[in-house]
Amino acid sequence: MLQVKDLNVYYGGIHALKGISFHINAGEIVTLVGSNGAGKSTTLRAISGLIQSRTGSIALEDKEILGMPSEKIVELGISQVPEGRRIFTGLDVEENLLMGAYLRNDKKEIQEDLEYAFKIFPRLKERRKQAGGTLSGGEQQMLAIARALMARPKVLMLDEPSMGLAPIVVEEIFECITELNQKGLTVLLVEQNANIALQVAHTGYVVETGNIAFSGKAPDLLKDDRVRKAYLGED
Amino acid sequence: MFLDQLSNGLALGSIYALTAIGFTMVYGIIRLINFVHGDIYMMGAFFALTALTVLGLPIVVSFIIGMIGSVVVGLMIAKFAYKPVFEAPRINLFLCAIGAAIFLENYAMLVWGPQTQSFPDIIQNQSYNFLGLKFTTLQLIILGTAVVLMVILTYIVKYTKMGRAMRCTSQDVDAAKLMGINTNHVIYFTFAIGSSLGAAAGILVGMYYKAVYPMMGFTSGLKAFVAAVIGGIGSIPGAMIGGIIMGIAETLGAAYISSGYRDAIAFIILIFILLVRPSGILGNSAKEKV
Repeated sequence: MLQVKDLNVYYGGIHALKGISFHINAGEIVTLVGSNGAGKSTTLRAISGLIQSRTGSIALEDKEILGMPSEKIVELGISQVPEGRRIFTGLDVEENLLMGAYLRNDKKEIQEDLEYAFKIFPRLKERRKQAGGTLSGGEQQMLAIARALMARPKVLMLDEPSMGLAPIVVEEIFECITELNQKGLTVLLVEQNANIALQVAHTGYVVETGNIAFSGKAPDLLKDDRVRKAYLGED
Repeated sequence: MFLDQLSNGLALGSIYALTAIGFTMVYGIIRLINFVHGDIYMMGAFFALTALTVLGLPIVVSFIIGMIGSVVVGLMIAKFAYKPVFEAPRINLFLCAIGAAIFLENYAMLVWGPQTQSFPDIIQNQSYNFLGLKFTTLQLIILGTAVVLMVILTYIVKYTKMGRAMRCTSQDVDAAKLMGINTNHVIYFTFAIGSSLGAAAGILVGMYYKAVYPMMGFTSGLKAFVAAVIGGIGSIPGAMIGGIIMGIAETLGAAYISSGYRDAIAFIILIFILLVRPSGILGNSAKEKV
């Protein structure tokens, strides 16, 4: 579905990604885990076209998307739920959701998707006309996910969806990610919370200082000593 | 006397408001104090005057030509002077704005000459009583035009897809890009709207004072900028309120204190507002929730 090969990114003089390669099969949840500053968010930003100075190859269904502007990448089917949620605080919940469908013109189906989003996240329906900035952190995360879904993506990328949320809300969000995946959505998940990410994912890649250190099936990684020591806080 | 000055102030204030909106919108989108805006306003006045006197077109057509001409100039400046340094630190953009302003002022002198040109008297001026205030025909035209343009603008920003895209881009460029918004288009659209409103203000001022000259945008540009800051830079309703306050304060100050202080009053208000409410009347001082 999505194939990243030898991706290099430079921030000014800093070599932030040093040739990262990984791939995601259709219908899979793949997670990139790693510590702060390893380059996980940078990878997602590069895939979304928010960073232009990059080399290598990013292919969506065998189509090269590296070098395309961000709006084209959204149109081709990659949506991102950015770190820190980044919802539009001045717009109400419904307007936020409609922004997710910005590139679509099928009014009737957009309306159906809106109702679908409210079905998955009933709490958003209650707050339909409320400004995005007045929502709680968990509700904002739900809104950010629902907003990304409004583009009808083939691949949904989530950047630190657990950040700053209470454990019970994190659980709720991850249940929802699993459910969406079971309905056929391909997911690329970036998390510092390796434990929960590896529990829901099929495949995991461990990112260290701009490189993939190692990878494997998620259940195997959960048992791997290197992962347990470095990311799960066990000795 | 007081009521006469009030209607003068309202007319002048609505012109400041139109100009201030352009400042505030461009600032909202790319965080640039667009110091070329005053000169776009001047170009609009010259375009309309040329259409009116040289080509002999009717005033309404000339007005529209002035607005279109300024949109073209505004877009060219955005494309050739700003686009190459969009990603650079803001100071570079700011310097490009000042350079473009100097260029436009001198270009206007080259084309139309440095002397003041008079705007022909095309409106039969009569007095009307309205809400207890006395207005001339011209003042009513100015107020009416300003109100209509502001209503159209508010509609575009609030209810159209492009308007929503503008609000999103001004809040968070990266998040807007992730929605599939082509933020470059939004930026150009913002420049186009700002320039057209600036041109309308320039033409109205030309009609009001019956004078058009290459440096006319300099002081007005500064005052409109002050109006935008008073209202809260980045806020469109703020720019409208700031403009009206400035216009009324300036005419009342000129009438009751001394007309020599006319231009100083704007800056006195600015200092006062910055001391009392640094983010402006409708400015957003709230910290963003993370």
